[in-house]
Amino acid sequence: MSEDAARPRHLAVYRRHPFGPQLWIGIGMLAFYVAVAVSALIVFRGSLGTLSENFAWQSPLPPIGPSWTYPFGILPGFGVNLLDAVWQATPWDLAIVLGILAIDGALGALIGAIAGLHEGSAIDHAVTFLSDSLGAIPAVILVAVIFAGIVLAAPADRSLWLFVVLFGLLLWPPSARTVRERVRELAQRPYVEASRANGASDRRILFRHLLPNSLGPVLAQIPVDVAAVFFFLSVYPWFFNCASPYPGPGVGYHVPGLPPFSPLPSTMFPEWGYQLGFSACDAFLVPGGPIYWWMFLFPLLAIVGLGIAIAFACDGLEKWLRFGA
Amino acid sequence: MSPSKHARSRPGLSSFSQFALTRGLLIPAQLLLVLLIAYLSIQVPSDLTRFGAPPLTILSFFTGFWGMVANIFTGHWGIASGTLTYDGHSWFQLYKDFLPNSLQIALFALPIAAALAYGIGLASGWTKRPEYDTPSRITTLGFGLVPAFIIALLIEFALFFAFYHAFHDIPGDGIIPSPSWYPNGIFPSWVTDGWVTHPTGLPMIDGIVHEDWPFEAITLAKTLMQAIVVAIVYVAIFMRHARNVVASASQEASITAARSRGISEHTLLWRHTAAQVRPTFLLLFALTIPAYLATQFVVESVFVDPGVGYLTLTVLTAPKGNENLAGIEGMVFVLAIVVLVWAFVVDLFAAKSDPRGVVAR
Repeated sequence: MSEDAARPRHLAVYRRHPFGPQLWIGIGMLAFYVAVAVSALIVFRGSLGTLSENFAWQSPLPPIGPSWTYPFGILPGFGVNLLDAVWQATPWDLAIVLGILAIDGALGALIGAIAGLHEGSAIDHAVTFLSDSLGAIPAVILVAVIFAGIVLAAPADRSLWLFVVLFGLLLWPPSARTVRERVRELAQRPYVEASRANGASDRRILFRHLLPNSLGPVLAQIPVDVAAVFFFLSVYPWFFNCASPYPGPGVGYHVPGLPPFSPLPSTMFPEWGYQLGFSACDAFLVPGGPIYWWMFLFPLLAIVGLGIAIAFACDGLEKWLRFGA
Repeated sequence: MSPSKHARSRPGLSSFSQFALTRGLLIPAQLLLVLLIAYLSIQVPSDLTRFGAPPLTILSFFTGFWGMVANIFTGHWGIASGTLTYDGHSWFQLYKDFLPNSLQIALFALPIAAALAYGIGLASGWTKRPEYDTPSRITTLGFGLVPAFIIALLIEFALFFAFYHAFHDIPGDGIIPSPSWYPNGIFPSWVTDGWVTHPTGLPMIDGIVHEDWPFEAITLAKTLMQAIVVAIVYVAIFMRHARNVVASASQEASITAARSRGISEHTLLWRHTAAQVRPTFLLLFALTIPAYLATQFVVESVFVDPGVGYLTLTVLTAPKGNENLAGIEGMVFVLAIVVLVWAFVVDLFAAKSDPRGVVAR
């Protein structure tokens, strides 16, 4: 049977097999995030990139916690209503995370598949060497190191998109490594041999047989990469504002600051990781003292929720693809 | 490269020795590539944007690169300035002084993490029943998404009063007793600058050498606390990979055959499956080293521990006007060496325990 004749049957398998509950939960949660992002685009249009501060809220004593008027409480330092801050950050964070994951996933799958298909070739050795070498530095530190130089030359308003591309370009090694292993194994399967005997080119074998059946490792790695992205976005602002030995603005409620290599364009930029990192300074103000939990809890829930939504979607998609294969 | 190719190219060497040799020879090349990335991303943009800088040529590129490598190896990593604590110290000297503190934490954290990851990873990957599997996956993932500094801060705050009542000291502010614990805030003569202990630099060993038992008790408690936090966060990272490994191993024909012979589930898991997944766990351990380091760096920073992690984040986040590119390049070198050598050693262990997996890779 020719390849083209087999295609409708192959696709029919996917059509007949319904999505599992995990995939529906993932899609539902992601749809919720997208709906929140769209509503933020409408409500905050014209000022989407800047939080509107209220000077009276910058250092309130005592801190203003959640209430009926302000369900998420007030975040001092920024001087903002936390509900608005988290809401306004949604479209930005979705764009950042999905952009990074798209580049990371596509590169990891493609590079890993090419290396696996040409096992033992110069390409395979180069990919393995490069991924091992890049893996020598934690991605969150490597991005900071590279960005420390890039921000010297890049204009501030473009640094966020440069960051998305750069992080995506540096996260591919773990996915590529696992895809390579899977493709190595798949390339020995009879159906690939049969396709080759039918005269299919390497490119056709790669895109028609190997890549669709090797997406499992990429889908397993993607939720892990979400954690790496938010680790980067939250840890450096926290360290810079709270723990650095360089003198800061003083004890008590802080004025938000960004480390020099930060990809965010301004100190009032709405972004969950930055809000989480900065809020931890004031939430854990005095060791042994009270914990102002609302300051870090809501940005944290937004991050964890998005990560779980992506994990559900990836797990469900992987199971659905596995059935079709 | 397959063992048979090695055997043809280097007769007389066992496949393990050939693997060790080939793998070991890669380390300098990988290190060079990492340093080249550091040079291209840090030094070149800095040189290009400097006012009145000469144009970049191939000659100046190579001269600059080798200059950077020479500076790293000769310890010219710049001098700290603008800080509240470290001004006037060379970054190289600070790294040298801080390294033992980080090693001390790692010596405790790694065994705790390994024991936890091994046990919990095996148990959680064994069952595929949805009522156990799904909550386990969500918990692991959700926990992994919480940044390490939040977990460390929560634990530090939760244990603050218990620690204070037990030792009359605060749990943060370093790995040795904080200045406020000493009468008049003066450290003993064998603790210099408030963070270097003598003669070995490892605080717990030096406490024993000087028979300072209260110092020893507080240092042990602080080290254990930090090590446990590092281990907890790292286990969440490790488990996400480990569960899949155990789940695959549990489907193996040998396990099914053993089950059909009436062997108990307990024995199947802790003897049969455990033996199968051990080499893969070792490889996972090597692959997740960067994640482990990033976790320890953050935990050191929460406890204001004079360690390599705290110093690394300090160098990276220096505010404008106090940036130290040579310090960042030195830090990249230290990290790359640690990770590459560590991965090499773990690969050797894994190859020794299961030559099929690693040598054939």
